[in-house]
Amino acid sequence: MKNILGFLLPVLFMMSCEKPEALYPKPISPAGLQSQTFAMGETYENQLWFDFATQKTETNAFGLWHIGFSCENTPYIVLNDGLNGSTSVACFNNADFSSVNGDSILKTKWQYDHPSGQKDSTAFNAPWTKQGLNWIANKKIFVIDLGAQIKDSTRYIKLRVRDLIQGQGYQIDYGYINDANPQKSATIPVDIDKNFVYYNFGSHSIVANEPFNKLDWDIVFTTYKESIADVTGIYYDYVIRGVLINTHKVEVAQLDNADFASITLNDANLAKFTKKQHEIGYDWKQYDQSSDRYTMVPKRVYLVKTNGVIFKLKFVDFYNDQGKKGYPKLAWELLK
Amino acid sequence: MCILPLALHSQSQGDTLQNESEETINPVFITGSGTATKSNASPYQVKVISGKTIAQLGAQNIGEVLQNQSGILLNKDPVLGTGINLQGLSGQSVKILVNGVPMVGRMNGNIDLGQITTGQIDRIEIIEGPMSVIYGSDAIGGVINVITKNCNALPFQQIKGYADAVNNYNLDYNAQFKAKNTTPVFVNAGRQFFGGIDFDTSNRQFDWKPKTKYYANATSQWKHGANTIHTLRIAGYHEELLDRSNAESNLISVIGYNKRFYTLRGEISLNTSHKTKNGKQVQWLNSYNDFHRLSTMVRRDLVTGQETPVNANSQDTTRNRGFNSRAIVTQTKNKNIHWLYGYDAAAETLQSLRTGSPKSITDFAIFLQPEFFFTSAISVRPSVRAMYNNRFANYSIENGKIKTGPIIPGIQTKIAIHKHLTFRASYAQGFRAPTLKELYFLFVDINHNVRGNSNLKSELAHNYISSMDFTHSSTLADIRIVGKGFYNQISNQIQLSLVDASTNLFQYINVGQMNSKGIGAEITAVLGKPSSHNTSRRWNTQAGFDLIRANSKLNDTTKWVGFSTVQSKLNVGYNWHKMGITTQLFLRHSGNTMNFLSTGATYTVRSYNLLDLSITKRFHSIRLNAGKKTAPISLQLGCKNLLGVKQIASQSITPSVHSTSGNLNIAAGRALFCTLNITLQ
Repeated sequence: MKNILGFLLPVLFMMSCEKPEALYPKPISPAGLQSQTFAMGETYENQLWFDFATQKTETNAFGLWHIGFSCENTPYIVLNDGLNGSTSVACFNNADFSSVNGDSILKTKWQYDHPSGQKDSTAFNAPWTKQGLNWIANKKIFVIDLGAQIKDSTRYIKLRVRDLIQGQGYQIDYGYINDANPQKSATIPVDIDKNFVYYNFGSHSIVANEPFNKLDWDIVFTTYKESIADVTGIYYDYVIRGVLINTHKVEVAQLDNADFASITLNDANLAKFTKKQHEIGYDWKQYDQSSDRYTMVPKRVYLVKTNGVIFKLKFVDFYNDQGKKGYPKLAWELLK
Repeated sequence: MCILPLALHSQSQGDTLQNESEETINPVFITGSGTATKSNASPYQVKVISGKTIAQLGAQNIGEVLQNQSGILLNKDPVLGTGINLQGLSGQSVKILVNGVPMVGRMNGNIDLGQITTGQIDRIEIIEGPMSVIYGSDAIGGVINVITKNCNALPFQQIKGYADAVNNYNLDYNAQFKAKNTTPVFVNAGRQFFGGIDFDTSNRQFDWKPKTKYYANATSQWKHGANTIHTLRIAGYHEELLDRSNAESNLISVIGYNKRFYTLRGEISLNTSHKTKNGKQVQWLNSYNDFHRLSTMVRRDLVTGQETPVNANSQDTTRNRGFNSRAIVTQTKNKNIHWLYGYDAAAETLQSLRTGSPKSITDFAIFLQPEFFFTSAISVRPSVRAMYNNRFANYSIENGKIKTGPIIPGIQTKIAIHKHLTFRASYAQGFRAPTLKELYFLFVDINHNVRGNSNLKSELAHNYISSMDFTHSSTLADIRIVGKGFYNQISNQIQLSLVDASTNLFQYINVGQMNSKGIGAEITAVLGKPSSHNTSRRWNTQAGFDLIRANSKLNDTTKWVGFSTVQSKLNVGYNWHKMGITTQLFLRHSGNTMNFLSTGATYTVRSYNLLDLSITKRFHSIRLNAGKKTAPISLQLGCKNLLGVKQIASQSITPSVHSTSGNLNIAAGRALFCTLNITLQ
């Protein structure tokens, strides 16, 4: 008995242990490859602004502003629709300030900015009409839903724009939804070094958002809203995290089924670039249901044209070394 | 009604109160009454899978045993384990008991059958049809009662080693100790290791996840006076499952994640059997069950091997504890009436990151089940269960009227049409209170929005089953043929449904209706004239089929969807008595089946066949230790899944949108296996 057990026990135990996993070979990285982790944070509380030429990164908190005023010659207003799933704008044409109230918004149509960033696709639809050199305010009242996280009547801001005279900045009047008359007025001077000037309805003040001048950054990791199809093909609005480009100076091309290492400058010159702000966007990552994690979309490479040069870049991770999500890691190489 | 002596309840390994042929044709069971009853004397339609059959299968857990039963569908989740579908009813509708003790710790509605190892099992009793009057909620589809080995008179030690070609290496140890003037103790302990199977070795993820199980249980039985027997059982179980993610190779690194799931189970139960002077038989069972499941994850640099623990806050832990107390009193006052009555009390708590603070639910019921014998051939067993549930069946006074909880009726009849032919018919109502998970589950993050619903109502069920049972014995053969039909209807069915598409909100709601119906037949034959040397017959065969139709309706605006399936089996065994060799063949056919998804989508699984073959040789009187002792040794060689089925095509269909095809894992592949069993007596 002892002999048999002495044979049986060791044999079964030796064969029945978890085998250590063999190590993988280190990937061969191109000589000019650079990489950086962008710490948005597990709750995506940060925005990170990055410039490829100087490799400078600036970080600031997401959600400091509600609306932004363009500093271009053509005036338009953008909405920080990533604040909340319900953050959006309703537009009331030919309306007086007092005629729009809590009842008015019950059945109205709410909109948010198209993530492409095109100025004719914003939720603040045509606040002004150009007449000669001046921009004349259309008779419109905009109601801004600041988000369902606000539980009282301060959730809805009622806003009226005034005529815009070049060089003087924007002028707005606003109040809460049931105010008969505007309770606040503000003048927002444009800053030609920036893309936008940002305004916060909580502090009733202009707030800083773009840490760099508009010529000094290429991409920003931030939170915004996009309409995405579910598995059945029906589209829903989601607050998502991704990368927006500085449309003032950057163009992007997305390549699929691409081998990062083999992409040359000649290939890049043949690519079709776009100035859509969300071209890089969020879909470089995909959610893997079985592992309950995000993984990188394999063989998806982006080309970024900025300051006359082209970089190829690929996202290589969405987690930090502690396995926390919200830490996208980007690898890039200058094409020569 | 035939009630065997109480002592038979504690039959153990090697117990031969029934001869082999009788055990196959007319087995003894205890489920439902606590006292040993021959199946042909019971109004229940009972199947008993003997320890011998389990051994012949080479089965290592009861999931592998039940896979061989035609009326049972199993679903295997790579992480959550093996779930069951009986009579077209799944998960929550089937009660899983171990020695009458309800198991807690359902994942996705199912007890993982893979966590009940076979080394401890004496037999498995399956009662198809409603047992809700005796066992309450989640027994509306039937009951599976695992009877473990108990104390025998003779001390022995037994060690069993098992290895197969799909990375299973198991050791199981059984022993009975009895010092002079002490109570005997039966011990079972073991380790089961599964190294995992990866069909696609180009990725890192296992198709069948590696598992390591450790288990130990001890049973002691002692008498208190002449008429009282106490049986104490303590059991512990530990399982570790490794779930590896695929490797991500991204220019500068190769990263993978290893998630480990730990499952711990503990049970302590005390069963007291007492026979009073006036002929009452009392079974009093008290038990405590503890289920704990937790997970940890590490991020692994696959190039350097460095592992970093992942944020602990993202890991879920689930703890489920249950206390159960049940007493059953049986009494035969005269030949015309047999009484059964008792109570059933249960308290359960659930704590999980997904449910927030600990939640609890308590349930108390009394039941009465007299059996009237109108003639020697006809018996009727009406039954009733009155219950109190602290959430769903409160007793209160409203507008001067007493509002009571539900009272569940049932009735079973047995008519012996002929000495060889018995007809049975049963009806029972079922009542299933929502589980704590269905009430309080909460999983909300960027990808999930799944919520429990504290406003859920209880499920209500009606269950009908009838059968015709023919048995015949002669010198040449013992034969039993059973034909059956059933119909189950469940309303207020609790389903996880997509409630709000705009927020992707999934919530448990009472919307569904479900019914299942079916017919089936099974023939069991033990053939061959016993010789003067051996009373066992040479051939044993069992063939059966079930035709099952299940329909589900998500809500009032959707159509009924359903499927029909044919499930069948064939077992053939032959004994070479003189040579001590037994061969056994198990063939199982599973026809096309379909599962219902909470989104209204359906999920089809194509048919497949499983064929197992085993040969067992018993070596007698092998001398060990210089001839001082002898050790019966048995060597079993066989092949599970001889046809090599691994994956089969499946198709998920979402109404009016699209369908997706994929492969569903059925088995780990063809598995040659070897079992060496050494007994020292």
